[in-house]
Amino acid sequence: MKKNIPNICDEKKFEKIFSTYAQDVKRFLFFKTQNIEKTEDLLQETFIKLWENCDNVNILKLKSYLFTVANNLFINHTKHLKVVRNYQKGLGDSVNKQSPEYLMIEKEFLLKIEKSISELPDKQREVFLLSRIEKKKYKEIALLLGVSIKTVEKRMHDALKVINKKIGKV
Amino acid sequence: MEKEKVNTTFLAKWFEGSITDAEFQQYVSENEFLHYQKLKKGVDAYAFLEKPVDDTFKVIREKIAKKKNYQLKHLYTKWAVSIAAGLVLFFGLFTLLKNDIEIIKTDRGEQKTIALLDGSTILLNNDSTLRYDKSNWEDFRKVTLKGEAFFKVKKGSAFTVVTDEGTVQVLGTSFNVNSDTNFFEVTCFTGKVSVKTTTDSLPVILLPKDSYRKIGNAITSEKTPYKRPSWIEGESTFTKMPLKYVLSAFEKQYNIKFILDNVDDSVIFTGSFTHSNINIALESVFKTAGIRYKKTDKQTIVLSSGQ
Repeated sequence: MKKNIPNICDEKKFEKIFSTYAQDVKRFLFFKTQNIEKTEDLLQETFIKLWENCDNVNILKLKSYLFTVANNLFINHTKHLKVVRNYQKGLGDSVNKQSPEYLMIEKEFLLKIEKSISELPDKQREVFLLSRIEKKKYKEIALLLGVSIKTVEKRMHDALKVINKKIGKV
Repeated sequence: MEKEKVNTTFLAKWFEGSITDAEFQQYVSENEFLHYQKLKKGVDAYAFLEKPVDDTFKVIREKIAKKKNYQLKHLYTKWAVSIAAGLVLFFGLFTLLKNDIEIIKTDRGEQKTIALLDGSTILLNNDSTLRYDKSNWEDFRKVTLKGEAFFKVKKGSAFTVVTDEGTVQVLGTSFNVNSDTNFFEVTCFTGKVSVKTTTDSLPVILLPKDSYRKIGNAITSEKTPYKRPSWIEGESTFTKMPLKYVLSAFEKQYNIKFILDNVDDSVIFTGSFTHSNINIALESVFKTAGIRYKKTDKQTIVLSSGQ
């Protein structure tokens, strides 16, 4: 019976599974941890666990397996940080608004950012994406676009102003 | 004067980290500072969540490999090493001897989806050929295309599409390439695409929605309103296209042959035809173009001028 189920332990299959689910697991973990580095760590751990247990995981329940593992890893992580009590009470209730770690980033907020970016004028959007998504320095962008650094900074400045205005209240 | 200059770019400077939080706070109120802090975190999160996961997979593979080695050493020490050495030798020879050139062809009326090793995908339209070298794919992403294809490229090293008419180079994006004899069309859907034709010395940069077309030596650029090429969704769409190329696309889609009787195939056509029904397709192209068509046999259609 078990023989009929495709095997996850095959490397190609594993890679396929990864490319199918990794983005979703990543999003899930980020909205839980609210921390980029932690998300990356736990994402790696989740899939390493899958690989180590590949013989025992039912491929039909793969998705729920991945999210369960990710969630458990997250819970362990919060326990480890001794903030589990805070978590159960509900994150966001007792936040210290002065420190960026406690600023909650919700899905809706990211959607607003995405929308505002897409509505930026072309020149501003170009600079914004090169800087924030491609992680290029203003100097590199200036070279790439054949304009001065000041111009790049001005466009970035204006882009941020526009986005902030569109997003409205925190 | 100096202050004025800084004033108009302080947000950009703060985002890149070239001025500190304290310096930044001189320009904004406490409440604004909070807004911008959250925006910065949100933008970082957005970039992180949008980023492809290829690098993560590499790390995972390394970590798994490390763990495996570690366990092997403890359990089987000596003979594991000799087996491993044997395997390395075996696969080493295997990869050396193996021919890694992959060729994918589509017939008329056929489309294929190709998943590449790095997670990029290619949709190959009808009557097209794609070839690439699997062996050093990770360092050298290059495909050779005859015909039309839509590319969704994962971020990574430069990705190059070579055609007889020109070369397209990108880092990570989605775009469509259509190349035929004396015809070359590239449409960028996301990211940034660099196009260099065989006759031009400098590349042209395309941004999203830009479409670049070269027929003979005439270059035109258009904007596409679509998010994906329409042929993926079972329809061929043309904007200001000489009829000749519309007919050629039609022939490839339905595996038929047109015979032109006093028809000017250089007229410009804008419109589309469906891939699902040849009669509807014929009507939608030739009614609007004012051309009469007549099926002489299953594979041949004679076109004549409507007047």
